[in-house]
Amino acid sequence: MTSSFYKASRNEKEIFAAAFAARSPLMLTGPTGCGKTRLVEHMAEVLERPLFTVSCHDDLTSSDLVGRFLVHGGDVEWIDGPLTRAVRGGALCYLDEVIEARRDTLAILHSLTDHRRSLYLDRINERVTAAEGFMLVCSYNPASRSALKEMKPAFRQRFVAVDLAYLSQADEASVVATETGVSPELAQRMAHVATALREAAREGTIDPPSTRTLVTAARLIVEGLEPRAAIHAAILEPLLSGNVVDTGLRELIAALLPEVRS
Amino acid sequence: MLTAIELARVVELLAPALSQGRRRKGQLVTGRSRAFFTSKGCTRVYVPFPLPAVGDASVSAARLATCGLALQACPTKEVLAELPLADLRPAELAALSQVEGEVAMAWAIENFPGLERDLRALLPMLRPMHALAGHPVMIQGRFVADASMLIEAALERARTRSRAELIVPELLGLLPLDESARRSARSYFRALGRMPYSLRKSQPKQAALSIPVGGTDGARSRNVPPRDRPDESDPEATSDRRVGIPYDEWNRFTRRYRRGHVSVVERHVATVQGKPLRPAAELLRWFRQSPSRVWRSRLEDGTDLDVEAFVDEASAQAAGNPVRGNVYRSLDHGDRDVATAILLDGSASLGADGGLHLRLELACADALATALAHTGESHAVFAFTGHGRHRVEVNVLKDFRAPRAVLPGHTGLTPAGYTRLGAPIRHVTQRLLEVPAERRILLSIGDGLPSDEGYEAEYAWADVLRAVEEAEESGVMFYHIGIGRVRVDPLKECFGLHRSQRVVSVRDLPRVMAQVHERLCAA
Repeated sequence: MTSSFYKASRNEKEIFAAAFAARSPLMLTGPTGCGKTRLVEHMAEVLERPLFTVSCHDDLTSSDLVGRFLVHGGDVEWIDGPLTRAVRGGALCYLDEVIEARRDTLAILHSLTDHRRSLYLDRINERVTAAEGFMLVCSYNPASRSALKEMKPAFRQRFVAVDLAYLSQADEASVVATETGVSPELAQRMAHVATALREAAREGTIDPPSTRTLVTAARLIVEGLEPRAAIHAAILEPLLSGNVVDTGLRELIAALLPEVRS
Repeated sequence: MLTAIELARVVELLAPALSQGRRRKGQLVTGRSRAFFTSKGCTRVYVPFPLPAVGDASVSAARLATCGLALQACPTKEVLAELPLADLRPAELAALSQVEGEVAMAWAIENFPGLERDLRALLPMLRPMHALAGHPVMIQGRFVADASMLIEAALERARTRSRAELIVPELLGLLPLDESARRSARSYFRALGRMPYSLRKSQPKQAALSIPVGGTDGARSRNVPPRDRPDESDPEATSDRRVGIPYDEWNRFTRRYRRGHVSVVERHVATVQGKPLRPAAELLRWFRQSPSRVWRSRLEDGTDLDVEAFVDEASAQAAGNPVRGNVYRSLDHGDRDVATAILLDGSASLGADGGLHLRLELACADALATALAHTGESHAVFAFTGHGRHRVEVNVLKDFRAPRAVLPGHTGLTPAGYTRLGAPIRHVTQRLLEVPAERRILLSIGDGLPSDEGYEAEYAWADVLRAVEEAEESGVMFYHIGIGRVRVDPLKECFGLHRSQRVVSVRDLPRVMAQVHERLCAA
């Protein structure tokens, strides 16, 4: 029994489990907030493996992944990074938004993603072979990668790939209701808000809201916040950018939610 | 009160959101016959600017536009678009507008409960219609009414109500345009991608062809006309009703602005992702003069050990001196906070010299876009063309927020139309002002020869110069890169001193880029 709830949109759980059994690395793709991280957390619980998550960014260096020397007194000491710890301990290592990492950083993953399943630490001249149970999972959002950070096909082909999408409006409403205990009608209304905002986001003017933000808003409602205020705080405000697009977003939310009668 | 471009941005966002994506594009329409309406293909929706006057002062302009868009998003539009509405008499059409409006009102209230109070206040003479001839129009929020139910109700209303009772409120707008109800041979051929006046025979020799103002120097285009989809096209622009955002134009003879004289239509163009280029070394060098990333040394914490600092600290400690422990280094962002817009001239005159000018323009644009993408700076790429003052098109090849870098040379940009340069400069300036940045730069690339119907020589140069001055007054730095050799070079007249440079060969690029950089850094 797992504590985390995950609503599968297709057969991603089966593919994940099969890739783990086959000791293959896994690449998850999909839009922001469609549940990639949630799937990994859920599967780590199902497979009973520890999980190391690294959110990649364009300043992420190989040191941030494999480890670095730290200074203690007058001496330096090597400290393993999250990837090295996962490799040694047979854990899942999840590199979120891997495309954001610098190319030279990704190069260290090559020996982990083929038959060698090992990691070479050049600074301490050690080759670490992956312990049983280690799995590398990466994710990225194809809509947000830049042309200059195009992932090399040779790198992508090292992974089993799963493309995730947003849940349908009905499924998303069911997730929100199940996770938080809000009424099905209110959950349905919130899922409608998310669907409309995702349509508005197609031209790239705003970021689409994630299922996570819906769940957060619903939790605020369960804590006693008025639904409109909760949706504003958890979903709308994070999308505002200080220009005229905000007027459109406020209008959209105002249209979708019933007026509070005084 | 929203300005035209502000309303245009709101409409662009709301149109797909309120229609579950069925209306892909929302645009403004200006002129005396402006109105809310949906295109025949139901993929575009139009909002009048200025918005219709309403008696209720409590309804904001944004809310009025939202209500109009919500009514236009109703699936009744799709149902009616299939009918030959031109066959109906005016009274029957008015009755149909009312019936459709009442059904749309019921649908909008069901889907957008926050608009109920405003819709009822704005349309006091209409009652939301939940059933037609005893049949519900929606079942569990799903629209189920069909065309015959709407038409029967409309004909009944036309018979039973007086003309005074059949007034159609402006907020309901027009019924879906029925311009292709009678499909002509012309539209049939256009749909096949061949103009009816195209010739099948080949012309072995260069022939004297009709060329647009600005000229193509006799160069023949090898481009096949795009497949036309009349239902998806904007309605033909007339002075009474034209699509787009209105912009003023400067009249040097009267020394006054011609208010809303030009209409700019912004279009997002699907671009094919090109293979990333390695920018020329000279270009990278000038961008690196103001690097967006720098190594910072001697930090308390960082990504790497700063060996030099560590050795210094160890020596200091051994000598008995105090140490601070700052022995790390990190690659951080620099302080450069710049948003850059590249505006390309896509008019027919760029096709001159067998496309040499276009290739040169695209080489400039590719070099700039690649360098900007490498440094990770916020930038956008626009290309404009024109078809008279009622339709100046600004195509968005890459928007500021779009994550993918775009190489203009890979976007299939083909020269067409005229060069009414003032309006695109004003439009891109407005777009730049929306972007949060410390400095904003507009780099225009083209032959620098403005030319359109009623837009020539001194009149055009004065308007362009005025647009450039307006941009600089609002805090946008402007620079123009002139492309190719021209007989009369109006760069100084158009852009003023020190705001332009002409390039006649790709070999000139690094030199010109260095001058551009110097000028922009000095500003």
